[in-house]
Amino acid sequence: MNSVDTFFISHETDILCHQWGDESVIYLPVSGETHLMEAAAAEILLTIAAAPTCFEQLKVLLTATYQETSESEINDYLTNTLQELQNIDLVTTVRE
Amino acid sequence: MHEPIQQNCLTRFLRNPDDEAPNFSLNEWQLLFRESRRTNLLCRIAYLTKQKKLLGYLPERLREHLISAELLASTNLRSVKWEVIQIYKALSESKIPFALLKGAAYVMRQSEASHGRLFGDVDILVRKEHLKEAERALIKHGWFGTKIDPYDQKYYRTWMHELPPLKNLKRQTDLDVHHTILPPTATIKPDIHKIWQSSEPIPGYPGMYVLSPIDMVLHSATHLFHEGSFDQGLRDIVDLDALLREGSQKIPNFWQELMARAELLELSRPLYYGLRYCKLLLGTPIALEDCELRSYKIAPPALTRLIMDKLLLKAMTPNYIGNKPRLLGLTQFILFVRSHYLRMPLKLLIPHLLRKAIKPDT
Amino acid sequence: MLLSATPHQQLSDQLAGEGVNLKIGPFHINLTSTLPGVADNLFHLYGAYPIQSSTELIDFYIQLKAPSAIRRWIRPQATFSFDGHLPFKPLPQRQSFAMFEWGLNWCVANNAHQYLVIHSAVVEKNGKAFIFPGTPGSGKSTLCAGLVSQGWRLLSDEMALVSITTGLITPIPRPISLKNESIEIVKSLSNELYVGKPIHDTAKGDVAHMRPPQSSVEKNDVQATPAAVIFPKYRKGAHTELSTLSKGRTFLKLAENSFNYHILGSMGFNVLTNLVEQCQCFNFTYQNLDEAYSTLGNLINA
Repeated sequence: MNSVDTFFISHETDILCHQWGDESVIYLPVSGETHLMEAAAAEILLTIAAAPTCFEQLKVLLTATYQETSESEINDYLTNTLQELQNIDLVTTVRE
Repeated sequence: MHEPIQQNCLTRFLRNPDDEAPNFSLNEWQLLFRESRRTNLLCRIAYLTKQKKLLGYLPERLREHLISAELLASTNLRSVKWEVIQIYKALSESKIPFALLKGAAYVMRQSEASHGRLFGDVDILVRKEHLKEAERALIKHGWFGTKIDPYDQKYYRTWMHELPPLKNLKRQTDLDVHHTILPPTATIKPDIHKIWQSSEPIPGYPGMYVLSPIDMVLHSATHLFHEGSFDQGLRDIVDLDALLREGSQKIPNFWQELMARAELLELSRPLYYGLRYCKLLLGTPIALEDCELRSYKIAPPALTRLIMDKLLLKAMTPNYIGNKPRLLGLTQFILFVRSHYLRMPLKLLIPHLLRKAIKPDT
Repeated sequence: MLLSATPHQQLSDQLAGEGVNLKIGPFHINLTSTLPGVADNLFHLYGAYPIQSSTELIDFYIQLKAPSAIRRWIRPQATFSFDGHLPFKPLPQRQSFAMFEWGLNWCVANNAHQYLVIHSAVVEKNGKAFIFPGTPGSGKSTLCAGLVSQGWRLLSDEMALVSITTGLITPIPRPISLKNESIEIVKSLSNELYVGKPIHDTAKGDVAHMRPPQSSVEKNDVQATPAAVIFPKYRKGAHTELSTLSKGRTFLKLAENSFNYHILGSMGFNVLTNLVEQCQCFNFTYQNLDEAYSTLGNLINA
């Protein structure tokens, strides 16, 4: 992964999401999978699901929501989260 | 094709839901409920009553069960689609073309037969020369062989038309990979190249195919008498009935095309039985007279037909209570033997059955 | 007529013949059996239930019987049959009533997707239903029996039936299944409780069933609003402690404890979301039952 990558949702699907505090549960009808994740990770996922998004755009989004957080922390968080989301095959850098 | 046969509430309803529903007594609904649940057709009843707007005639608590069945069917449908996507991913990566068979094919073609149906295994067809490679690709993507007993391994690989059944480790779903629609040892030998030639691609999934609608009918009819398990017998008849009705509406000269194709693929006999029992059990409208059937030389000798009628119609009765379960067990056993006889040279038949009988449940 | 008012011989005859029709929670069951002991257990544990006439649709036809003539004399066995289908291997005949209970659970869990079915005990007081999911070693049945002995209404010892349309919980008050040490604990709670003879050496150890209170059975048709999800944990020497559990984690644990969440798909997600949304969610460690009553009672009054 590098910062010029664009992220796509792995499978076209509706995503059901419910947020409680800093946690969200999401459900993907296409696979029947349920995930519990940090609300910020769910926000990233939903953004990518709405339209393919690049790293910089996601950074802008997170910076607006988490204004107290430093840029390097946001960078790290985003890198890790995107990797996680790819590991569980929710997002991809390759358009199918 | 006009012999009267004893109809149970389930076949009566399936034949003619519009006329039966308003007149069913509570007892008849009860029997329909039990018979359809026993034969895995409750989802189909849910689909039919909804589509034909018959829900108002149902006892209230039966409606609850139909809601339950409908939910089950839609989840099942969703998971088959997902499974197909995963298989596609695994095989397309290695550029192995494959065709979906039976249930999965009905789903991807949105065929009438896919509505209100429960799906078990997914069946796919690959070319013989791709078999090994397909197995490797699937194992790489999380499937594993379920039959580890060396005898079973040999049985499947040598005599059957499939790899030993595969299971997906993560999703616990079953996949059967075939390279022909009947085993190489069967007396009937449909030409698989002809079947591949007329197969049809599924848009959006290069390399993934389904059989042509007519071959799908023929495969469904063949499957009816060549598979070991008749628990699903009536469900298979319902499939075939739906395929026949849909084909005859959508395909010009359907019946003639069907007969000609059956002759070409040497599947006339299974087709004959399929048509016969669809008509007898479900009243499938078949625009062919008996004399026409005979002119295609597909009807079996009268005695053979009589024996098959007796065996088959009995096997199609849901075996819950009453209905002489012992006799029925025997009937199903004979059909089991018969379908194995179709699959394998006779001398091989006995050892496998014996092993099935003495081996503890796995 | 109440089952307990039926003469014993008549009950046995009916079981051996056309079967006994019982309404258990929302389900109508037809039970047939010629096995010894079944009539007795029915009489003691389901005595508060009315026997139904046969004018209602039957949801589950259940038969308990001996599998073969030969085995009837040596090591007699029992099979559970649901409409002719045998979901389990035969068990020793002395376990036949436990098998009925397990089998009925199986029937509901596999055939009633008009509910989100969660493996848990459910009790109710002042219109508030508490859900105690059944993770192993949780002591949910002991706690459930204890609360019931304190006058809480029993909705179920085994499963929460959450309506997919209203989110309310439908009662299915059946005998409470007690295991091993909890049998003696519950027996000592009150003289008014009836606990049946223990069945030894089952797959779950010793098992005995406690009769559900008549008042709970009579309220068979009164649904309840879920108010709390509480994951109990019985631990020797532990202090009574109620600690808040995040709603996200509660959601996930309930999904894991559900028999059919995966079957309900999006519907399951929405039903469970609403359930968790309207409930307080806790982990609950306890040893002393009196302290447990008072802690949980305070939650009701809060």
